[in-house]
Amino acid sequence: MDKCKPLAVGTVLNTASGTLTISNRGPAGTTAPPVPPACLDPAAWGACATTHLMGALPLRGISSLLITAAAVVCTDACPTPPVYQEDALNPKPFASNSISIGASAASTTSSSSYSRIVHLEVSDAITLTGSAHLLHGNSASTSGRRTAATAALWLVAPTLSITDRSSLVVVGAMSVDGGPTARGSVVVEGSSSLKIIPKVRRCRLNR
Amino acid sequence: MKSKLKAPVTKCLNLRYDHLLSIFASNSNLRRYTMPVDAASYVFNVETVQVSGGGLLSMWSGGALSITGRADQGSLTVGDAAAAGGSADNSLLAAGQLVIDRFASIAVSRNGRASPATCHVPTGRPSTCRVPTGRPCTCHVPTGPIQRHHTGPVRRRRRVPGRPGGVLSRRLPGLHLRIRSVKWGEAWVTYKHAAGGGWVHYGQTVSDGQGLTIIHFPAQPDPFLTQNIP
Repeated sequence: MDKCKPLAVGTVLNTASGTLTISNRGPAGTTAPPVPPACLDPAAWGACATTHLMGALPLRGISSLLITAAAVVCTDACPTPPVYQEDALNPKPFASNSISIGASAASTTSSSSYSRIVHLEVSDAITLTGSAHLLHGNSASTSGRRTAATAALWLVAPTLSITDRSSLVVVGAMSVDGGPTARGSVVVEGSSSLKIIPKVRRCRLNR
Repeated sequence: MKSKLKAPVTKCLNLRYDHLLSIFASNSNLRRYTMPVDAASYVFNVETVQVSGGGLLSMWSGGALSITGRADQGSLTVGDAAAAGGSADNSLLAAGQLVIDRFASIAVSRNGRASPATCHVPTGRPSTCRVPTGRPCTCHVPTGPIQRHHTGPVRRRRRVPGRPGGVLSRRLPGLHLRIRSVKWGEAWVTYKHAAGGGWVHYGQTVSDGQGLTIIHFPAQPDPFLTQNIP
């Protein structure tokens, strides 16, 4: 798992431009190496993520979300990172950031099988580029419990762009909403991927 | 900005987005879209969907995914327009049940693949098709939107016996097409000549981002097309 250790974590919120940038670029501008494939296995998400987005990302004040430079970002519906003992032989293997954005994820009405929704909503664009990864969901969670692990991911942005060997992987359900103008776009290119891995849910009788 | 409402879950099993209400702020219209059963994941309120350059948009484990665009001008593209040379990476749009709805044009190039799919026509008669996993979808689409997409140059190939495809030829400016049914990346058409005549022949076409190419002709040679073969 040491292969997952990032060089650095760079997160910049530019309030003037309303841009939230999450990158894994080093302090001197060095570019982090691509994330090892093992880190992108759903079982390793919680440990490998360099940045955890805690809570919903509301529209207010944020125009764009850029995830770049080999950053691995988990929503708060990812598996909980393991707790490591702080000693010389077993240092904490991952430098990680947690970004608390707004309130916690919104609760849905009772009409949904998913108890919660992780809501990332911006007014302009959500962009993943440069071997960046946005991960959501927990494949190891039990399907019958209504926890954050079963939350659906809602991406609301006129433009969703996944380029340059990047990926957006969701365990559960996801919706991409281009917004009320309906003039946006969804682009997946440059050996990038958008994968949705639906969870098998049990039938709930007598509802 | 939240623009979706969901009908209550009736009893059990899967989440059911029976209907999707979408409010368009530009003209304050309220449209009610019927959503496919069990499509818990979806893309909507977008005008353009593009999966290219080796891109992958997939729903695993046989799940349902619906993608809806704008019937008046939206487009969905899988693969690269410049894939005629065969150098581009393959792109894929796939789901256990893939529902593509309300796009003015749908284009799948030679290095793109979209399968399987249930296709809902933007307007008019209901038309759906369900095919086994791993096979391309065949669906009937009104001629209007597809013709709008296939307004590029029309070329043809000489059919090589025993080999699908063939050799690209040049444009045939006097050829008019009427799309009858459309597969992903292919269309069965009738065509007529500028010199007149009825819609008499069928041909199979491929849309590769550079226009419509006829790749197959019926057993009876067409005099017009024959004389245009270089």
